[in-house]
Formats: sequence, structure tokens, C-alpha cells
Amino acid sequence: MFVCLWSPVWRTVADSLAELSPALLTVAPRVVTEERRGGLVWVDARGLDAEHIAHSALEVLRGIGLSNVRVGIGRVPIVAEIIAWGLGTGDWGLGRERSVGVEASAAVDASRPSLQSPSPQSPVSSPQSLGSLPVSVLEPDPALATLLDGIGVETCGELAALEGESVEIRLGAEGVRLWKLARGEDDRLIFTPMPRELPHASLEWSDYTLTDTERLVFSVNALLGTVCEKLMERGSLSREMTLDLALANGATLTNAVRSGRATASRKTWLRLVRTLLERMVLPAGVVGLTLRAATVVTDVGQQGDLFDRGFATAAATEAALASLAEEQGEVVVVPENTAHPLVERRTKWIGNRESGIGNRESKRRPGRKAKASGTGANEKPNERPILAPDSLPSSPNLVSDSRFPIPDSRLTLYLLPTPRAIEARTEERRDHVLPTGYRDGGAWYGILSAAGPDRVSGERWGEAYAREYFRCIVDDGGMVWLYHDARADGWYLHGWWD
Amino acid sequence: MLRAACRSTVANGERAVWIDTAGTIVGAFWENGPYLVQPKSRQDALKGAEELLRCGGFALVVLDGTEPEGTEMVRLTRAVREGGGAFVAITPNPSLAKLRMESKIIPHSYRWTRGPFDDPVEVQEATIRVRARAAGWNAHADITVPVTPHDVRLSLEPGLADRRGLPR
Repeated sequence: MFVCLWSPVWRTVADSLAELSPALLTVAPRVVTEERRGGLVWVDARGLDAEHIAHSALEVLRGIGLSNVRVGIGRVPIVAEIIAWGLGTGDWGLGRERSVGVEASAAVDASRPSLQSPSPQSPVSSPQSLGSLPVSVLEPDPALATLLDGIGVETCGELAALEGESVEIRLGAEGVRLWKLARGEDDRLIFTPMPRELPHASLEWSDYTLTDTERLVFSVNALLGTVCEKLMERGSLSREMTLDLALANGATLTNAVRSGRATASRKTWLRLVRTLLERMVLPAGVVGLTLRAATVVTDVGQQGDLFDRGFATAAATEAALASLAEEQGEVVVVPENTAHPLVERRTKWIGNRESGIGNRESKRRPGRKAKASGTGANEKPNERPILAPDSLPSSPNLVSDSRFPIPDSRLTLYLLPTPRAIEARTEERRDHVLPTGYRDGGAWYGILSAAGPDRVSGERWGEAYAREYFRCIVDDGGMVWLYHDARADGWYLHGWWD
Repeated sequence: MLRAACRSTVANGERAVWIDTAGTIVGAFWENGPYLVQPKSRQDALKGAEELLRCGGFALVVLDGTEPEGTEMVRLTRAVREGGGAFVAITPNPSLAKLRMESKIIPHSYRWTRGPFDDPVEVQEATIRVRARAAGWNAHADITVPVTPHDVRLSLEPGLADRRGLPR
């Protein structure tokens, strides 16, 4: 049952309707205020004795000096609302649904015999219309009110008697809403669903105080058992927990414990709480602990895959990666590439949010992944390495056994974190200089052959750059990537192929 | 070769992780599949490697840019035994290693694509000499592998050097 309170003097008595809520919450579990019709106060009496709650609410309001308050009780909000507004009984005080229901049934019976007629013994059976009450009690839109007036619909009963399809076609969505209200069908969510209480546990003691970290951890471990068990029962994971320490001096220390990944693992949370407590300096002894899950997310379980070898160890991997993330931050990364001409500015490393699930999926989409990682158009991802035929017979072969697939290996560029300045020997060419050797770390390296330059320049308004890149084969066999900075006129070692 | 081993591991449905301490991996040339870990310090790298090895979820763990020494290597070896995976450390001091591999590109094995003036433009492939040693076993092979182009996408003609932009 919905209980609705209305009074013409709400605004003169209270600055805000919300101020009435604390008083009314002493008699009902939930109270909601609404600004319509000059102010409505809704009291949730579903599953409770509505009449008793209504009387109690009136008593409470009288206690704070409000005597001319009207109360409506209804199984649907619109009925309670209209009764409270004074159209049901016309008297101050308590109005029940019965009065409207009887009138409604009479009106409906007259206009549309097909509609189920409530019996006098059960005047509140549904669906019901608001009978002979004028349509204006439903507060129609002015344009719609004119339209209804034009087609001769004056009462709620007449509106309820119309066919739904006709109403939808002729009066539109607003008309359908009004039609449903006239039939006593009100699906408004006056009271939003109650959020579920988050898992929590607490412990208090009065005979002694605790300052020793190990003993505190022991107590927290007991609380964690309860909280983690509740989380697992709900199929949830927690990303953050709050630990309240009640101190002997009356103060309360509140600490947030965050996990890198949402988890319901008692072991993980215990490790995090232990780390927190070990770092904490307590101003007084602890006489109570409260642990609650502050941020809870749903555990989206992974579907098992019998053909995925990695799935069996997914939980262990997940735990290891979570531990790594907690201790070191976002160190498990994936590249996010752009088309910047400078390779070192082309990539932004972002945290890899993938859990420890198996890797079969990545096997299925090699082409897409290769494209996403920004490999060049000239690259041939499926190209197989070529075995030098001369070398194979003369040496014990490492890869000749056909049972083992030859991995798709290739020489790939590696970069120094920051380009290293080097000294270079060069020789003049037609329109550029070509490096013939360079000194790095005190040793000179001869360059057997060099390709380039690849000229890259840009960023007129930002950090400008102008480089001439050369791929050079060094006399020890390595291939290095050198560049000449045309702005600073210096040579740098930027990377190598390996 | 190691990256190919990582990819091969992943393709077989298992996990591989590359611990890149020095930050030398180029994002543009990293192929998704293996996990990539970029620890902030040498100690973080060693701790991370130990944790990942011990968890048993990774078939291959590659530690690059950090050279474990002495007791660190012993700890990692124990973690490998506990987890049952394979561990590769790129280091010149391969103590406690069951298999030691070294590779070197043969200097004159590069095959170039030549430009119109017969100057080298693009490396096509190179031959690597790989030597593997274990207790009582020593073998080597020459493997010719293609070279990933560095691919600065400015040239009008991919594969030809871009010489615009810097008048001399």
C-alpha cells in the first residue's frame, strides 16, 4: 500500500518538504517527497499495516503543529494521491481507496460493461478507473486537455472506457499515460529499489586495547573471512574496502584499502591490510574494528574452455598479475600506437586490464592483432624464416626436426629509452653525409654498409625535430639505427635490430 | 628468436611474458599475445619475474634488461622449479642455466634491396648463427630471418628513403 500525505500549508510551515522526512521516518521505513500538486509526501507501507502507519504519520505531523493534513491510502500511487489531494473524501484526515473505488466501479459499469467490475465487497480490485472524477485530477497537458474536451471526454471513467489503441493513435504517448492513470494503472517508481547492503563485519572489545600489528591483523583476518565469504555468496568482487579502527580515546581512524584488481580473495585482502597496518602509527589503542566492502563489482565469470591450455592456471595467473599490479602499479602494459613519425613518440603504454584468462582467443586473430600493433605495410606477418641450406648438414641441427614448428622469427627494432649521443665518422655523398663509423662507449665501430637517410622533420609549434636516419651494418654483424640531428648537428644511436 | 618463441607459446594456448626492464621494446613492433611487463627498477623486475615464475601460469618468462646475479639467480631457479615454466634470462653470465644459447648476426649475410643508384635501401633478410650448449651437448645452426622494416611512413614510395624536408 502507498500512503500519500498532502496539506495546503506545507510551504508555509516548512522551508522544504524534506524537513518533514526525519519525523515521518520514525513511523515508516521509507519516505519520499514530491513537489507536484503543491507538495506530496509518500510513505512506503508496502507489506505493512497501512492504516496504522497513516494514523501514526498524522499523529507525528500533529506533534509538529500540522493538523490539516490529508492522508490517502491506495494500492496504486495515483489513487492514494487523489484521495490525499481531497477529491476522494472531501474531508481532512484519513481517506481510503474504498470511496474512490466504489465511485469508479459504478462509472465504469455504466460506460463499458466489458471492463471487469469490482464487487462492493472488494472495491479495490484491479484494474479500476477513477470513475466520475474529472480528467483534470490527472493533471493533463493543456493541449491534451483541450483535445479531450473537444472529443467530449470529461471524466476519468469516460477516458478509461476508450480503447487503448484508439487513445494511442489519437492522443499520443501523453494520452496513453493519462488513459492508464484513469484506469488505475500507475507504474511510477515512487520508491526506488533499495540498494543491497554491502558486505561488512565488525568486532569490538572493551577489556583491553590493541596496538600490536600482528594481533590487529589476526582480528582483521577473522573479519575478512566474513566479508569475503559474503562477497563470494553474492558472486561479487571488491575493489576497495574500508577499515575503521575505533580507538580508546573515542576517535575513529578510517582507512581505505584498494586492490589493483577487483577480488574476493581473503589472502589478497589480508596482505593489503597487513601492509596498511604495518605502516600505520596508532595514536591510541584499538578497541574495535569495522571492515566493509566499499566498492563492489559483479564477478563476470569466464566460460571454461577445455581446449585452452592456459585456462587451468588462469586463477593463479590472475592472482600473480594482481599482486604485481598492487606492488608495482600498472606495469603490465599494452601499446597504444599512433601514426607519429617519430617511433619513440608513436606509442603510449597503457595498463593491460586483461585478466589471466587463457590465450586461445589471441591465437584466432593474428591478422587483426598485427594491424592493431602498428606493424608496417611491408611486413609479412606469416612469412616463415628461411634456413640456410649450407649450414644444416654440417652442424647438429636445432630446428630441422619436422615435429616442431619453426617459430616465425624476424629481426625487429629495439630502441634505447633515450637516444645516446655518439661521435661519427662520415663521408660526403651527393646530397648528404653518410656515416662510415661511430664511437660509442669508448669503442669504435666500423660501418660496413648504411642505408639512408630517411628524413623526418616536424613540430613547427611544439618540440621541433629534424633527423636523418641511417640503418647501418656494423662490423660485428649488428644492425644499428643512427640519426643525425640536423637542428643540433649531432649524431645519435637510437636503436638496433635484434 | 625469443619473441618468436613467446608468440609460439601463446599460439599453443599457453602464456608467455616478456619483462622489459630497460624499456627497449618498440610499441609499434610489439605483437599482442605475450604479456609485456615494464618494471620501474631492477629490483621490481626480479621480484616480478620471481612471482610470475612461481605462479605456474606462464610457460615462458623472458627477463630482458636485468642480469640476475648470485643469490638472485638461485631464487629465480627455485621459482622456475616451483612453477614448472621456462625461464630465459638475457645475460652474459648464464650460471645455473640448463641451456645456454648465444646468437650473432653474420656481418656479410645481409641481403639488401638496392635503389636506382645501386645504393642500399632496405634490408630484406639476415642470417643468424645460433649456438646452443647444454651438459654434454653443443650445436649450432645458421638461420636466415627477415627483417622488420622500421617503417617511418613518410615516404611517397614505401621502401625508398625519404629525402625530403632537410635542404642542405
